[in-house]
Formats: sequence, structure tokens, C-alpha cells
Amino acid sequence: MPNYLLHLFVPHHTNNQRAKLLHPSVLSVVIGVFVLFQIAINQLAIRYPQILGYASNISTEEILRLTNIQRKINGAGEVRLDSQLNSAAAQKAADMMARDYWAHISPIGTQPWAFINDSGYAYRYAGENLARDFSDPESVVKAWMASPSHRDNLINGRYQDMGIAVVDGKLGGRETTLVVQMFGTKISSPFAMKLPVSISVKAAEINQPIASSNISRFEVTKYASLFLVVLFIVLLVIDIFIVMKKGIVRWTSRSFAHLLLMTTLVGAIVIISRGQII
Amino acid sequence: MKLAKYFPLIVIVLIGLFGIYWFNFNRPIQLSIMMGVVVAYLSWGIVNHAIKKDLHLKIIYEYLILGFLAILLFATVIYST
Repeated sequence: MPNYLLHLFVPHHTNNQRAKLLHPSVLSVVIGVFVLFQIAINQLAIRYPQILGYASNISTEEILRLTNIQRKINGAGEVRLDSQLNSAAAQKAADMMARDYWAHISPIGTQPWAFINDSGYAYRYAGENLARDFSDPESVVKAWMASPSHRDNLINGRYQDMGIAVVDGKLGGRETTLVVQMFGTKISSPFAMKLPVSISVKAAEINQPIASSNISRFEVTKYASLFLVVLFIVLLVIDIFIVMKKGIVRWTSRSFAHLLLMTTLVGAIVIISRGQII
Repeated sequence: MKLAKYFPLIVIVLIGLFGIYWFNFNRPIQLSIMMGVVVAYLSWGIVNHAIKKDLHLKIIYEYLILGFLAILLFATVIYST
């Protein structure tokens, strides 16, 4: 093996018995290169969204269909789309985009139920699920079903109606698709308000895929990070093996501890799925 | 290499990994868990080297930079969607 490769990858007398790539000075350079790579990826996604842009294809009909499949499996009755709840969901989504927040309660303290009341839907029971950054409806419903609190909402037999809004826009400075799902059951009440429902039309209009990219920034970042971590794992395994085999005595940190951290990181990165829910 | 001394660290990273799986889709909690794992890894390194009486700033720096790299990569992936 050429000497420069030994120097980079294997404990050797030229690198003080530790692969040069594991030296803190080189690690600092690797960190710098990774940060620059991420800046380049972000710029590419902003300037050329057709190459590395954000893409999603979530339809309200599909969310309704998948929700009802899960409800049927779990013995709850089907929910039907309600125009007032659709309006409430669209208003909530518009408020989140306008005030730039990602939470059930707005920065000025507006509860989800306020949007339902404003839509004229007089509810006996109501619930809300939120999701963002997902690319397809299956992943959204799957994520909600995997979370106990969202699952309780989704398969709750008390709910009869559902409203949904899928809105594309910028949240926290990043392009995203926001999904607002609202559940409810009406009461016949003299207090029920009759307000015009206008936002539901808008929600239907904006429910379109926002980019036609085959490669997502998430996947590029995920695989670049995995490549880097696996490289370090290989280097650390070689390091541990050679140090043990040759009985090298040196004054450094514990490679096995680093190996544990890097292995955990690989596991964590593999586990992570695209999208967020609250 | 005595594996017994790594037992606390192994337990911590396994708990951390389970936490990241359990709180999938909840980014702030996942990042907090990863930060917790890195703090535990750093603490384990300092305590272990102090016991062996070979603790030095250079060694702490090695743990710090790898810990920082782990948090950077993890945070970049979870917030890149």
C-alpha cells in the first residue's frame, strides 16, 4: 500500500500511530468541508429546485381514504369531509404560515378550537393533528399512527367529521408542505355560527405538488452523512485491530468509545424518517 | 481491551438509540437525546482517562471534536427535510 494511504488510513510511524484522518486537525477540516457541502446543497435547492428541490404530492382525498382505512381496522366509524372543518384547517395552516410557527397554539395564544369556532362548526368533540415535510400521504398517516396521541385522535370513534388542509409554503425559512387535520363531531346548538366558507376552495387549489424533483435534499444529506460516519467506523475498526495486534502503546483517546458513538450515529441516521408531526 | 469499562457507555448509547426511534418525527426531542448521548460520551471519556491518570487537554479535544461532528451530522440530517 502506498505510504500516503497508510498515513491517512492506518496507524503508522508517520502519523504517530493513529490514522491521520482521525487526528483532530484533519477532523476539523472534515467538519469544515461538510458545512461547505451543506451550504452548497442548500443553495442548489434554492436556485435550481428542479434538480434538488423540495417535492411533495399529498392529496386531501388520499389522507381521508387512508384515515378511514385505519379507523375501519380499529373499529371506529368512517369520517366524512366537512367543508367547515376544511375551512378551519385551511385557516389554521394559513395562520401558521403567516405567523411562522409550528405548534398547536399560535404565538398569540390562539387555540386550534378558535379556528373551528370561526368556521361556524359547533363541535361537541374536536381534535387536531399536524404534519410537515412529508412527501406522500402514506408516510403522514403512518407517522400519526406511530404516535400514541395522534393515533388516539385518528381512530377516535367519537369523531364523525374531518377537515384537512395541505398547504405548500415557507415555514421557518424553509419550503415545506404543511398538513392540518381537524376532527370534530357537531352538536345542534343555537350558538352554532353560520359564517361563509371561502378558504376551503383556496385549500383545494393549492393542494398541488410544488416541485418535480426526483432527489430530495433530505436523501442527499442523509447518504452523505452516512458515508462519512461509515468511513470513520472503518478507520476506527482498523485502528483498534492494528493497535491490538501490534500491541502499540500510545497516549490518545479511546477508539472503542468513538466507535460506539459513530455506530450509534449510523443507527440514528438510519432510523430517521422524513417529516415531522405534533 | 477490557470491555467492562465500556458497559455504562454501551447502555447509554442503546437507551439513546431507543429514544431516537421512539420519538421519531419529533425533531427537538431527537436532537436533545443525541446531545445527551454526546454529553455522556464526553463525560465517560473524561472520567475514564482521569481514573487512568492520563487525562490531558489534547484528549478532551479529541472527544469534543468527535462529539461535535456527531451532533452536526445528526442535526443536519433531521433538519434537512
